[in-house]
Amino acid sequence: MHITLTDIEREAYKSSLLHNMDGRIKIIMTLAVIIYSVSLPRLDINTIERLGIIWLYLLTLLIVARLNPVYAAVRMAIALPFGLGISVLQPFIRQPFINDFTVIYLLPLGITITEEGLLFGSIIFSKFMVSVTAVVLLSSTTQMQDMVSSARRLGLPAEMTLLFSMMVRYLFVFWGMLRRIRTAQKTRCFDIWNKDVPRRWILEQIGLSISALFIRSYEQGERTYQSMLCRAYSADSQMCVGKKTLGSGDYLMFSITVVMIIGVQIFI
Amino acid sequence: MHIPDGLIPFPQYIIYWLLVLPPVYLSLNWARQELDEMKTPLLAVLAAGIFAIQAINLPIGMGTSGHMVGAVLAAIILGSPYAGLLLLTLVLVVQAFVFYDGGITTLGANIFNMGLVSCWSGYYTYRWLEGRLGTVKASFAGAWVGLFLSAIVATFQIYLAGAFPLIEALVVMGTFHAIIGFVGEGFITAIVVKSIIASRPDIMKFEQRKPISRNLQVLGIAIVLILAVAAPYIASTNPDGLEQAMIHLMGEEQASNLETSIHYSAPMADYSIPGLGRAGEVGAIAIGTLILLGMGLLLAKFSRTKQDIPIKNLEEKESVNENGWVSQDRDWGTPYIIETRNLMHEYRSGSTKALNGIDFCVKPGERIVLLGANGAGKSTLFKHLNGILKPTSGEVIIKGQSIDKTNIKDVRRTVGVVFQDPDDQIFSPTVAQDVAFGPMNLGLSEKEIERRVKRALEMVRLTGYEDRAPHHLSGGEKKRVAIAGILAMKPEVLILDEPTTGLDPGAAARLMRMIMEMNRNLGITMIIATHEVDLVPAFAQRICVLSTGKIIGEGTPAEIFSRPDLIAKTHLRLPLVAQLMEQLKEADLDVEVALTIEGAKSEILKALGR
Repeated sequence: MHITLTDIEREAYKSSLLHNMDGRIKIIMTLAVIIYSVSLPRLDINTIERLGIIWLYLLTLLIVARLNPVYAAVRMAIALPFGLGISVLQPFIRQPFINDFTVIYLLPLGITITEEGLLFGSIIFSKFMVSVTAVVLLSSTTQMQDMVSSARRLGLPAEMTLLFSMMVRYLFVFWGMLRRIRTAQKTRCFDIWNKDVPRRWILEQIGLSISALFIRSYEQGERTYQSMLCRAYSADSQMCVGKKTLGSGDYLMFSITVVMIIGVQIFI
Repeated sequence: MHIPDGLIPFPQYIIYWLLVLPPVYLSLNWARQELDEMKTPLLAVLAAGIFAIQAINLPIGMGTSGHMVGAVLAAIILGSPYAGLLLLTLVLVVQAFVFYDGGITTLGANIFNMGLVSCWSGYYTYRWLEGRLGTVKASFAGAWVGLFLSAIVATFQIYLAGAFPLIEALVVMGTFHAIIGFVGEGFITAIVVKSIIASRPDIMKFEQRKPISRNLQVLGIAIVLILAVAAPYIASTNPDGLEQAMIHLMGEEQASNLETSIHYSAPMADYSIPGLGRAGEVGAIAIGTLILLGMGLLLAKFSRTKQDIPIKNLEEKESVNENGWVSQDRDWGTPYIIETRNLMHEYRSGSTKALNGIDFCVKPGERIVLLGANGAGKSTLFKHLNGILKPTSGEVIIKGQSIDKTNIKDVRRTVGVVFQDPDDQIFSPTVAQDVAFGPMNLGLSEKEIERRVKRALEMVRLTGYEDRAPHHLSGGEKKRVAIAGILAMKPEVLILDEPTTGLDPGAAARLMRMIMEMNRNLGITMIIATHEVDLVPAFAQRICVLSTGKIIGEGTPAEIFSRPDLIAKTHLRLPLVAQLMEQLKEADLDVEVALTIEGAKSEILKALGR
C-alpha cells in the first residue's frame, strides 16, 4: 500500500475538532513540538520518556481528528526508513562527540554494541517518530490551500505565498497528468524492471516522460498567464487571503499543547 | 538525501537556517527583478512539475531505485541558479510539511544541500562546459556534479551531528550518489534538456545569458590543476582543520583512536596507498583522476546521438502472421474473447462502487459500443479489461484465462486501450519513437519493430509522419498516432475511450470509417465508449448501456434506441436521424423510425412513393 496526494486530501477534507482549527495554530503547534523534541539532549535517558509522552499526546490528537488509523500508520512507516536506518547503525559506531563507551555486546569481526550508541540511536529514533507524527497530523488535518493562507497570515512574503498557492494548485493537475501518462504506459507493457529491453532505453523513456511533463507544465503556465492577464494580473498582484480571527477552541488547543510541553520539561 | 528531524542538533540546524536565509532572500529579490510577470506563474508551474518528477522512481541497478532532485535541471531551463534555489525551496517546504520527506528543523540544511550547493555547483559546471561539450553533455556533467557535491555536503553535516563516521560515510554516500548522479540525475537531465531544445527551444533563452569570462575559466582550471597535483604534498603529513579541531576538543590520543577506528575499511584512506609513501599518495590521486576520466569517457559514449538503440540478444518472441492479424487458434474453452463475471470495483478514495457486478461478454470480431453518462464506469471497466486495475471482487477472463501476474503481458498484447486524451499516451519526441514504444516493451527485434511501426502508420494513414514531433500534429492526427501506438502491438481487441472527442465532424467520421475497416479487414474486435450517438447506429453491432457501475441494457442499436427510459438514464439523446423520423411520423408521414441516413432515405422515398 502506498499513500498519494489524493489520500492526503481525502483525510484533510474530513471534519473534526482539529480539522476545524485555524491553520496558523496548527502550524505553530507543529513547529513548537518539533523544535522542542529536536532540542532535547541527545544522551539523556529522560529524553526518551519526554518524547514518549509527547508522542502519546500526538497519537491522542490523531484519534480526536478521526484519521484513518491504517492511513496514519502507513504514512509514518513510509517516512521512517531513512531515519530508522541511521538509528539502527548508532549502537555499532563510535560517535565522535562521545568520549567513553561502555561495550554491552562483543560481536564477531570486532563489531561492538555500546550502551551510549544504543541510547543515542533510541533518542534519534524517538525524535523521528515525534516529528513524523506531528507532520502527519498537520498535513492530514489541514487542506493545502489553508496551509498556504495560514503561512501568509503568519508573515510569509507575498511573492512566496503567490508562488506556493499556484504550486499547490498545479500539484494536483500534474499529479493527475503523471498518473494518466503512467497508466497509458502500463497498458503498453512498460515496466522499469523489464529485462527484455535495454536498461538505457528504459531510462530514456523515463527521461522523455519527464520532458513531456516539463513541456506540458510550461505550456500550462503560458495558458495560465494568459488567463491571469485577462483578469488584470500584473507583477504587483498579490494573493487575497482575507482576515480570520482565532476562536476559543484555537486558543484552548494551543494552550493545552504549550502546557503539555512545559509540563513535560519541568516534571520529567 | 533529505535529512530528517532529530538527526542534527539544535545549534547546528540554526546555522544552516542562517546560511540559507540570505540566498533565499536574494533569490526572491532576483525573482522580483529578473522574472517578468509572465515568468512568475511559470516558476510555480515548474515547481509543481519538479515535485511530480520527484515522484518518478528511476531504476538504479541491483534492484534499487531512486528519484531525481531536479534542481540543476530547473536552473538550466530557467537560466539562473537563483531560479533553481527558489524552486527547490518551494518543493522542499511542501515535501517537509505535507509528506515529511525531509525534516522541518533540517529544512535549512536540505535547502543548503539540494538548493544552494547543487544549483550553484551544477549550474556553473554546466555553463563552463556548455561551449566545450555542447548543451546536452554539459547539462549531464552539471547535474552529476550538483548531485554528487550536495551528497558530500550532506554527509559532512550528518558527520558533524555525530551520527556518521566520516570516511565510511563519504565512501558510501559518495559512491551511491556518484552512481545515482550518473544513471539518474545526469542522464535524465541530459535527455530532458535535449528534448526541450528539440521541441521548445524558446524555453531556454540562451542568447540572454552572459558568457563566463575567459579569465574566470583559466582561474578555475588553474585551481583544479594546482589542487590535483599539489594535494598529496600539501595535505599528507599535517592534520587538516577538522582533525586539528578534534585534537583540540578531544585530546590527541582520543582523536588518534577515532582516526584509527574509522579508517580501517577505506582502501585509500588519507588519499594514500599504504606502504608506498609519497608515491602512494600521488598514486591515490592518480587512481581517483582515472576513475573520473573513465566516468567522463562513459559520459561521452552515452551522450553520443544515435538514431537506433542497439538491442542485444533479443530473440523475436512471437511469430508474425503475414496474412492474418488475429490468431485463428480459438481453443479457449469459451466462445468469448473477453468475459467479466460479477466484476466489482471500488476506488480507495470513494465510498460508491465504480463497478457493481458487471457481467460483460465479447465475441471475437464484434463491434460493441458502451453508452453511459460521465462517471457511469466506462473507463474503469476498460482499465479492468487491460489488467490495469484489479477487481475488488469478481473476475476478468481474457481468451479463457483469468488475468493474473503470469499472463498480464499477454493480456496487454491482446487487448489494447486507446485513451481519450492522446496526450496521456504520446510522450516521445517523434511519432515513430512513440509508435515503437509498445513493441519495444514486448522485447521484439529491431527489424520487427521497424516493420510494425511502418505497418501501423500505414493503417492509420500517417506514412511520412515518422519524424514529426507530436505537438506539431492536429487533434485528429494525434488520435491516429495514439491508435497506431496500440496497433503496433498487434492487439486482437481494440478499446477506444471516446475516440471522437475534440475532433471536427469530418475527422470524426474518417476515424470511425478507419476503425470499421480494421474490424472488417483484419477481424480486430472493437469496443468503443462514445457520446456521439449519431455515429453509433452505423458502427455498433451491439450496444451496452452502463449506469452507476451496472449494465442496465443490452441489444442492437434498434432495440436500445427504441427504449427512451434507457436513453434518459445515459443523459444522451436519440440520433438526429431518428429524431427527424419520429417527427415525420408524428406529422402523419407513413415512415418507420430509422437510425441511419441510408435507412431514413429509403423510408422517406418509400413514403413519397418513389
